Amino acid sequence: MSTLDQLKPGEAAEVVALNGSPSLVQRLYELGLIEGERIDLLAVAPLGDPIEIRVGNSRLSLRKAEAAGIQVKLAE
Amino acid sequence: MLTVALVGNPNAGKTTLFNALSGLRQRVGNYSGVTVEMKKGHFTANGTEVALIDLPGTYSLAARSPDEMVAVDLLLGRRPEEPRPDVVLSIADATNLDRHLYLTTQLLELGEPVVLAVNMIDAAAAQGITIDYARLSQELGIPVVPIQANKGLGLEALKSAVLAAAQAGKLATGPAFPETFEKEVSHLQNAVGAEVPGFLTRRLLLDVGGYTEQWLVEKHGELLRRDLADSRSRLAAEGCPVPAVEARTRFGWIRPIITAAVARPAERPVTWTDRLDRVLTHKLWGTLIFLGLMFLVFQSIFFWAKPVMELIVSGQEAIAEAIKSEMAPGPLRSLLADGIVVGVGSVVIFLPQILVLFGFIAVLEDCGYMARAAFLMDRLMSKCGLSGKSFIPLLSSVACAVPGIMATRVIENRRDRFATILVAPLMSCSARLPVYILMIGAFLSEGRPAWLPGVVLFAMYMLGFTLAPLIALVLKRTLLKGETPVFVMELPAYKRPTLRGITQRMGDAGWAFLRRAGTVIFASMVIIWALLYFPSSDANGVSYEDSLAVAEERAEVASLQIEALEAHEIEVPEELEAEAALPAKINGEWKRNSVLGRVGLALEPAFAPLGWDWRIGMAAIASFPAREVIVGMLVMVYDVNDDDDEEHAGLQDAFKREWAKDPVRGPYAVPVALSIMVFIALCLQCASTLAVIYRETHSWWWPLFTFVYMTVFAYLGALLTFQIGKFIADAF
Repeated sequence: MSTLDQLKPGEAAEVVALNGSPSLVQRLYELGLIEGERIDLLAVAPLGDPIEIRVGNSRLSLRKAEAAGIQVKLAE
Repeated sequence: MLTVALVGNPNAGKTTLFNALSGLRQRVGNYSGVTVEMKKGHFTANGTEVALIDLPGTYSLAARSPDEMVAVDLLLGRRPEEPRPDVVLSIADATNLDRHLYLTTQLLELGEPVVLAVNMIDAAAAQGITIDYARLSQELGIPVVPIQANKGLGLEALKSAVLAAAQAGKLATGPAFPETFEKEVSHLQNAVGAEVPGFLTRRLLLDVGGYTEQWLVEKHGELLRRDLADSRSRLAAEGCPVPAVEARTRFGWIRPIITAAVARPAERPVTWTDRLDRVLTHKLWGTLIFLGLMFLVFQSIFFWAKPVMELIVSGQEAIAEAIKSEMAPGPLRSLLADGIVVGVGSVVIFLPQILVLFGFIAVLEDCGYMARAAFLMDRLMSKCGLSGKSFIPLLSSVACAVPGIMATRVIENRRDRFATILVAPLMSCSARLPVYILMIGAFLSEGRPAWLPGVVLFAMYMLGFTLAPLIALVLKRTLLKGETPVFVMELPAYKRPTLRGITQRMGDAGWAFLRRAGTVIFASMVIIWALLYFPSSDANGVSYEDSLAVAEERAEVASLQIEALEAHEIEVPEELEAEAALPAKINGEWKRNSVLGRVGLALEPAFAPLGWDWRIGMAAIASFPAREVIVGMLVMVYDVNDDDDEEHAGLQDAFKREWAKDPVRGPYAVPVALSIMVFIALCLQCASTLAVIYRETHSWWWPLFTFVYMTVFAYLGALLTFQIGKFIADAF
């Protein structure tokens, strides 16, 4: 078990649980980032933060501090 | 007349659809107490007039701010400005239907007929996605119309569907929430009373710390807060925690429908967005392309706008000249030529820069790159408590703060947006450059090391670059303190921008500036004219304009004589020189005797610690509405005669000559020059910027605050510069 901020570009994972401020968690849900969903880590910004991920058919940018609240299970 | 509200996620193509439906028949609607603007348009469908309201793009109706609440209240018919919509038009992206339908399911609960427009069907087809619209409509229980808004396809069918839905008035049910949830809703409904719509009671329960909660807890007090907490913990205990219960219920309802109505290729195809993002968000290539693009934007604001701006200036001068030659001297002529023409000119002068910047912003945003730029710059901007979205507005402010502040509209978070607006005027804009060049040219070039002018100029720009982030940080921790916003941002699929979309954005920005800021700028220019014009006659009651006219005629004769003498290498008598310089002298005397000149004289003690005499002080005061006039003012108060050349050699000589006679400015010329430059760098001498801050914040408090803090900084900065410079000069 790890958190989304630890993923490297090219890796994929499954969302296990969401933690963070209520507004953050609600926004992530609204964007389709829900438990059981697959996440692909696409890129990390030049200065090391934020990260670019794909959920469903959406691409999202998340700060690492926000991504640290998302527990994931690494896909094979 | 029907009222239709257009709702959709950001990037669903909402604005494109709105423009395609309403054409040029649109106007901006304002709503009291908030900074949001919503566009209203009209179209006719089968002879019925339809009013269309374009709500701000949103992922959800879970309002977290007063701005977001306006959209929800409008949809519920709770705003006095608009009637309750007869139909809600929901627009969704065909390539990302399941996520976009989340918002649509929320709309189904408003109690109004909903029509779904599925947009970008061409992009979906390109990705191999096929949608069974009849099935989708049947499963969702609402009319579904496929459209391609940028090409205007499917609009007639959409209009008919909206009309039919309004006539039928049929409501769809949408997803059913768990029974335990409904029980808690009805329990809370009793607590808040029947006047709160059921829709908002659900939002009260679902949105932890949301706007509905803040509003109702304030209204009903501690008891409701406790009730709410109890309800939420009961739901959590029964396996329906908020806000997860909403996402599970909605997506749980949507996904089977998508499976039934949408066919996707088994293997996700590699799209253009995938290919482009591999380069554009790449650590090295992405950064290089970003820097290149920013350089291009920056250069364009400076150089593409410049010829047009010069054209405006020469047009303004030509009109003023024509007025002066056609009319008899007097207050009316002066008001027209020096007040009104200058006032109009100083409004219009900003248009080229605004249009160029907004052209770029429209392209970058419409094609989807803006979000990538914010992604690349986020880390840097987060150091001063802002986000990547503040980068482009701040960079643009180096050319001009007016378009820069208007560009902050891309920042959704209100506090981030305000912090950016309040520090943008600290960025050294292009109007400050002439003052730097003048001062550096006069005191810091000749006989100094070759690197010195460049270093001083660089230091002036660095002053703003360092102070702006620091002040933004302080503001975010004090005046603009609040909950940390969510920085999750969607990176939309790349799209080809349309010429129509771009020109519309440029036109909107230009028009908004003229309408709202133009009047303030114009008024302040006329006021400054009056303060410099009156009193218009000297102590003997002779009109300055009359003496000026006489002097000018004589000066013309004198200069011809001087020219002739010089041609024969004969020494020019002093009286002749004085004759030629007389108009400048009279003009200087007039300005010094004017209301503004007297104010400058009275305020001399306040300028003394900065190393300034009353003339510099007066020029600084006169340039508060527009800092670019300071050079012209200095030319006037120093009685400089001819001043057509770029370097202002006449003014530079006058400085050197006049200051050398002076006990303060003689020995300390360099500290004085630096103190003037620092003052100009930090001071908000720009009525246009203040007008635009007012326009964007919808309050006089913020422009006033910005003006005061910058003026205080400018004064203290100039004071420190002069005193430290004087100390160093004395020490060596």
